[in-house]
Amino acid sequence: MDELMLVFRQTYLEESFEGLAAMESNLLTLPEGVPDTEVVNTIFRAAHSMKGGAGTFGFAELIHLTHILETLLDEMRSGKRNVTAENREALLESVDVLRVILTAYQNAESIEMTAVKAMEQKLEVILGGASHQGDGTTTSSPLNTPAITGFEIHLSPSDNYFESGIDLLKLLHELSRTKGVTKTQIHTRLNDDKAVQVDHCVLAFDVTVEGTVALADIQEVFEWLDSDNCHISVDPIAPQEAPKEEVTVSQAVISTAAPKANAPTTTATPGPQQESSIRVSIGKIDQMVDMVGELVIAQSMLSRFGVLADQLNASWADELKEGLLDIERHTRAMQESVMSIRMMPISFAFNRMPRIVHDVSGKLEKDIELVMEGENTEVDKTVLEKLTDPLVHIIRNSVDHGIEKPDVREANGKPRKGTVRLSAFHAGGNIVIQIKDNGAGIRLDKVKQKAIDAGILVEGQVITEKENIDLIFHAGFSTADVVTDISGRGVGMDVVRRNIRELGGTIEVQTEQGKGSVFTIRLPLTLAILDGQLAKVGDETYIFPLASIVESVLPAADHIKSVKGNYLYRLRDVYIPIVRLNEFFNRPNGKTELTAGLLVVVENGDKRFGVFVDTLESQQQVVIKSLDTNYRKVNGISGATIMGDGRVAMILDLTELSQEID
Amino acid sequence: MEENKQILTFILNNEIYGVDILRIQEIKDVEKCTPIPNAPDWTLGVINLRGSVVPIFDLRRMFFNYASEEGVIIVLRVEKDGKSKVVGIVVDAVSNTEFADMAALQPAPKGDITSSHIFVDGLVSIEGRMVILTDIDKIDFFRE
Repeated sequence: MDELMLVFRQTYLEESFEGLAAMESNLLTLPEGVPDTEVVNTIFRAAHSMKGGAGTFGFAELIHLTHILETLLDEMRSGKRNVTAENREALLESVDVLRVILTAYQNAESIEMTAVKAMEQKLEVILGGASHQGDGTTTSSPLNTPAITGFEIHLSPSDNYFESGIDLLKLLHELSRTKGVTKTQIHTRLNDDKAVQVDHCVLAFDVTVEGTVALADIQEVFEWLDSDNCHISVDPIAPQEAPKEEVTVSQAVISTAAPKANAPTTTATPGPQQESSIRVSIGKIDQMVDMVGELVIAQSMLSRFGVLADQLNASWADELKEGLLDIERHTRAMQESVMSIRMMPISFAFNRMPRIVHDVSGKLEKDIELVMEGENTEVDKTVLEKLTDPLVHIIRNSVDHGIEKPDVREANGKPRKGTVRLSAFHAGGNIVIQIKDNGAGIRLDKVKQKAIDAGILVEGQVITEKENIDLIFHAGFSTADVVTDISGRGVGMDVVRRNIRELGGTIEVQTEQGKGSVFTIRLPLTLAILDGQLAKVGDETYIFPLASIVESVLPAADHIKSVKGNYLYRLRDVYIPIVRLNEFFNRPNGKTELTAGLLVVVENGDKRFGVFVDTLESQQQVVIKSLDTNYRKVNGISGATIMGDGRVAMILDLTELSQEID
Repeated sequence: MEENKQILTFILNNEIYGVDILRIQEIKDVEKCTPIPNAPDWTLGVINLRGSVVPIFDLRRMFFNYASEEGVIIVLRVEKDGKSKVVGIVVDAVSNTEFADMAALQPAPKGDITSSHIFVDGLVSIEGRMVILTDIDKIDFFRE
């Protein structure tokens, strides 16, 4: 195979995996009964393009299976077959088999044909139940096929229609010349009851088209109209004999208003006009991120000269400063757009969850609805990749340990169906992901007993509720009475917490007996850039994440309290602990008298504390460089950065600082 | 094992040491480092090496218990748990590049000839002088 072919092959495989994911998520939302044509079509298209490519690359094993799959899906979308739990399950299974085949192709491994054959047979048995179609390889989408006796088209231009510059009369004229049109009738009416205004289009049009016309041809005529400039609906004139026409009608409405959701849990179906895109290797993007990072450093290095020029009273100072400002603006814009390339919607991680909930709840005979919100929240690709496993783990836990069996729920006066809510949103410079279930909650007494049994706690040891909850993050801890193949092996929550900490995030748990639990994960927006506040301790510079700073105060002597050698500060009516950076880092630097320096009040998770520094300096964006790359993790430090003068400065890890005060 | 290995020789505690030249990235003057919190005293801190953050370790403090303002930084690549890291070591001076005849490599004498014995690979004689060949990966720079 020549090189070009290999590249195409790789693209085909990537697209096929994406297609499988789309098939899977759509199958899961496919309700039983009369099939939702739109959803079935999406699944069909994915299977169809996989089959087409398989022919090109000679993936024989794939062709036959996708072919049978197509036949089945075709019967569904043409209304010959209803969706049942059985055939939906079979379709899901075949997605798994296809994934195995594709993975084998990708890794150039041999394919286990017995599994493939078994799957083919299973599908054929289902197919045999109804009228068997000879060759189901119809490629045309149903949009083109139904030959209907005519259409009724309603056009109501919006107020700003004339600004679009589209001549509606020309379009109507073209309509009458469309293939198959035998007769057009145009009725003009007033566009609702709008007040007449000279630059608004006050007329609306009802057009009746007769003849054997394809819907697609009509849509093509009005291609340029969208919801911004004109509301348009195209309804077929129902032929008398066809009872299943309802399906076609609902599909034929090309109303550009908000897309109707198939089910509350599905993501919005992509609009007809997809943005064009190219595939770029992540390595190239990382290189760009690095280079832009260097550019930011160089820019901040230069910006110092603006101040210098002012001090010199140079005649060219203004011009220089203007130029520097321009550079700063452009670097910032460039940085933002480069970073945005790395950002991906969190749906890439969320999309796996419906299948997991479906499988696990089926196995455990539980009735669970998964509600997902905020799937379009964007996160850094690296974050996304490392986030998927922890999410899967928490979701499995919620389904396995959290939600009770339907009978138990009913006995406790809850609805039989349990709910797991997975949501993502932005809050204060962080991305927050919540997994909330309305199950039994965590039995804290049981957790404590297990911890004592496992030797983590000593009998009779008094712990706070929060410490009690945090025991679940202890290595080797599991409360499942029976170790199932789903969860309960005790390799889990500690790994989850470690993964999230590696991403610079935090995880918190709230639980209420009998009502459910909430897992809250907070992550930084990006791993590469930080808005920082520079602070001095002696001659050393440390950087605070700006988003965590609440305020900074000049400590007043009468507000400082010492409790067993630990200092507290009374901030209005609340006492907050004080962390001295020079003591924490063991540096013989900086001021020792609290009243001589500054207290930076920071918030991390639910903790508020004061960090004692000498002075605050400027705020600036810094590029985060990992210390691990050439050294190792240092307690209290999340990374390093290179300042405008070329020196290295340390970035504080407030999570680790806050652990110091516990 | 290859017959002739090219090495960089440097001076530490008035002795001549050698390190595989393929590990060396560059040699630079000692500069002010940004200290790493809670690190051992022989970890001088980190410097900015053209955009990378590189830790600097003073071998004189680490093994010979003396400090000096003089010295040079040898920036080299070390392997740690299968990962390659770039670090700088501070030595008294860099002397030369030489070819060491690996066939004539003698094992280091048993017992402590110097406190640096833990990273000594063997002894080799070059033009009548004894050069102590080092295995830089054996030094645990990263311990707390």
